[in-house]
Amino acid sequence: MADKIFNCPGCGAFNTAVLENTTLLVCKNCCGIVFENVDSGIKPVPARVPADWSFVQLNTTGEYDGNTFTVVGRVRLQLRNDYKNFWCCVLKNGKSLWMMESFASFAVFIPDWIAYNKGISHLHADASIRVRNLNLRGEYVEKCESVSYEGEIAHWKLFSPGFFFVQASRSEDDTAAFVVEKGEIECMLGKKVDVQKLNLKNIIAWNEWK
Amino acid sequence: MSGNNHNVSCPKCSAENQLRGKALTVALTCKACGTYFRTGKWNKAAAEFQHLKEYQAIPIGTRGKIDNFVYEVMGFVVKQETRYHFKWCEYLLFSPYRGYAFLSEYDGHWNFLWPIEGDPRNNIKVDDFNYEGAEYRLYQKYNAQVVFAKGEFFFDVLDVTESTVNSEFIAPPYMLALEKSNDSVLWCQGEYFKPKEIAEAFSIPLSKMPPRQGVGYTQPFNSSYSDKALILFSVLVFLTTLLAQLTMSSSAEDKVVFQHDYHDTDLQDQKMIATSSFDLTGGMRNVEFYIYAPVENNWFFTEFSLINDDTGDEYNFTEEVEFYSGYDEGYRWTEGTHTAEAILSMIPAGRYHINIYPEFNFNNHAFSVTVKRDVPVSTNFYLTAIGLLLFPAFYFVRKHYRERKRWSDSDYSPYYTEE
Repeated sequence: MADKIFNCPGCGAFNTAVLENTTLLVCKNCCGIVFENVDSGIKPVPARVPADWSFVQLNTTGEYDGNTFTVVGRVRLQLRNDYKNFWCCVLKNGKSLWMMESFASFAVFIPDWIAYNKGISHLHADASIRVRNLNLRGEYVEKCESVSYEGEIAHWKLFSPGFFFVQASRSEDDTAAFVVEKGEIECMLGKKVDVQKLNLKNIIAWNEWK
Repeated sequence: MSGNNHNVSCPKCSAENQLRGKALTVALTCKACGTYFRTGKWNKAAAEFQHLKEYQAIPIGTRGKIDNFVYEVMGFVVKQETRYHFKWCEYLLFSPYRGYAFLSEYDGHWNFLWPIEGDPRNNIKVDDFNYEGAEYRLYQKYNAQVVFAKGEFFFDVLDVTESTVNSEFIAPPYMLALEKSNDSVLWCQGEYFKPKEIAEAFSIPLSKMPPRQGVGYTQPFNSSYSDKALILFSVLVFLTTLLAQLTMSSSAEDKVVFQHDYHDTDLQDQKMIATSSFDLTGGMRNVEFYIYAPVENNWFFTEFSLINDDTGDEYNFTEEVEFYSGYDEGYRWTEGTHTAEAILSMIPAGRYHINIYPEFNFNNHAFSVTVKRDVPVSTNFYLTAIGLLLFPAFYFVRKHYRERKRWSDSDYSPYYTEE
C-alpha cells in the first residue's frame, strides 16, 4: 500500500500514514490530531504520552512469527496499579499488530477484536475464562485512569479512560486483553513473547542502567 | 513525542517531588515531609509513618547488579504480618530491561524476587508441587500491612498490601510467592541471597547490613553441593573401596605356613616352647596367628615372639583364650570362645620361628597354633566404610535439625505432625 501524507491542521507539519487501516494519526511535531477515523462516539483529544522507562520507541523494528515489523504508534493505558503500552506495528504488507509491553514483559496481539458475551462476572482474577477454544485464567482487573497516544494507530476504540482492563493467560503462552466499557466486553487474543525473540532494533539505550 | 515533566507536589506540604520512575510511579512519599500519596486522580495524602529508618540497609537510589542486570532501589517498605505481628523489609527495584523486582529482608536473610508469567501450580491449588525440577512446599499464608514506606512505587503499595493474601512456597534456596486479591493474581519467583552478596551487589559495607539471625526460611543448608551429589559421591567412593577390597582379597595368598599342636608336657622344665622354623615369602605381607585351646570354665594365656632367624628381629604379642559355660534356671549359658586370632601386618619375608610362653591352668593342658601368610583382611575396609558413612550421616542429621529449625516458624511445618 502506498504511504499517505497528511498535513497537520495545527502546525502544518507533514505526517505519513503507512497502515492500511489507520484509525488515528497524531502529529509527530505538535501532538495534535492529524487524521481520525474513530467509529465510537467519543472522539480522541490530544493527550501527550508521558515519558516512562520503556526502551521501545517509534521506528523500533522487530520480528514476530517470521515477519518484520516497524513500530509506528502507541496507545498508553495508565492503569490504577500498572500500565500497558500498546505499540502499534506495521508489517510489510501494511497490516498491523499490537505489541503490548509493561515492565519489560511483552505480548503480541493480532488486532482482531472479539466480542465476549459471557458477562463481566466471569472476568476476575483467578477465574477460569474461556475464549474461543482457549481456557485462560484471569490475572488482573484494573481500571484505566488515562489513555494517551502517539504516532499512527490502527483499529482502536478506547480513547477515553474509565474502562476496565482485564488480562487473562494460559501458562506462559496464550494471553488475552479484555476491555470492559459500559457493559460491552471485547478482547484481543495474543501470545506472550520473550523480548529476546522479538529481536528489537533501534531501541532506546538507557545507558545509566548498563 | 513524549512528555518529560515529572514533578508532583505533595498534597500535604506542597513540596515538589521529581519522579525518578517517571510515569511508572503511581505512589510515593514526599521527600520533604514523608507523607505517602498517590499521583494522578488519587493525589491526596494517604498515610504518614513514624520514622523507621533504622530498618533500611540500602538507600533509595542505590544501584546494584543482580543476574547481570543493573537495578535501582526505587522504594522501601516495612511490612507487618497481621496475625503474629512480625516485621520485615521490602525494597522495590527497577530495571528498564527487566521490569520491577523485590528484595526482601528478614533477620538479616535476603530474598530476591521477580514476577513470573503463568501459574507455577498449573492452576491446581495444592500446597506441595513441582516447579522447574524443585519440590515446593507451602511455608506460610498471611495478610500484611505497610507500617513504613519511603520512595516511589509503581503501584499503591499500601492498598495492594492490605488487599492481598500472600502464600509462600519454598524449595530452598528458591521460593515462589503468590499475591492474590479479587483484582489480581501475581506470582513471583525468588532466590536466597547472602548478606555479603547483597552488600557487594549494591556496594554497601557489610557492616551496614543487618546481622543474620537464626535460619532463613529459604536459606539453603549447603550451597556447595546437593544431597544427591553427596549421596552419589559417597556411593561411588564406597563402591571403589569395595572393589579395592575384593581385588585385594582375591589376590591374597592365604597360605598356611605353620601348624602344630602342643601339650603342657612339651614345656618340660622350660617356660617356653620354640617352634620349628618356617618361611614367610612375598615381601611385606601380613601374618595371621590362630590359637585354639580346649579350655572349659577356664582361661589360657600366652605370649608370642615371632623371631626372624637371620636378623633376630622380634614381633611380640599376647593372646588369651577363655571359655565359661553353665546352667542358670534351666538355661545353658556360655561366655567366650576356644579360639583367638592375631594379625601382624607388614612382616618382611624371611625365615622365622616362634617362641611361645604359655600359662596353662589346672584343667587345660593343650593348645594348637596355626600361622597363615598373606590373609585377606576386611577390618580396614569396614573402618573405611564407617568413615565414609560418618560424613553423610552427620550431614543429614545436621540438615534434619536445621530443617526443623527452618520450619519452626511455619504453621505448615511437616515436622509438627510427627510429634
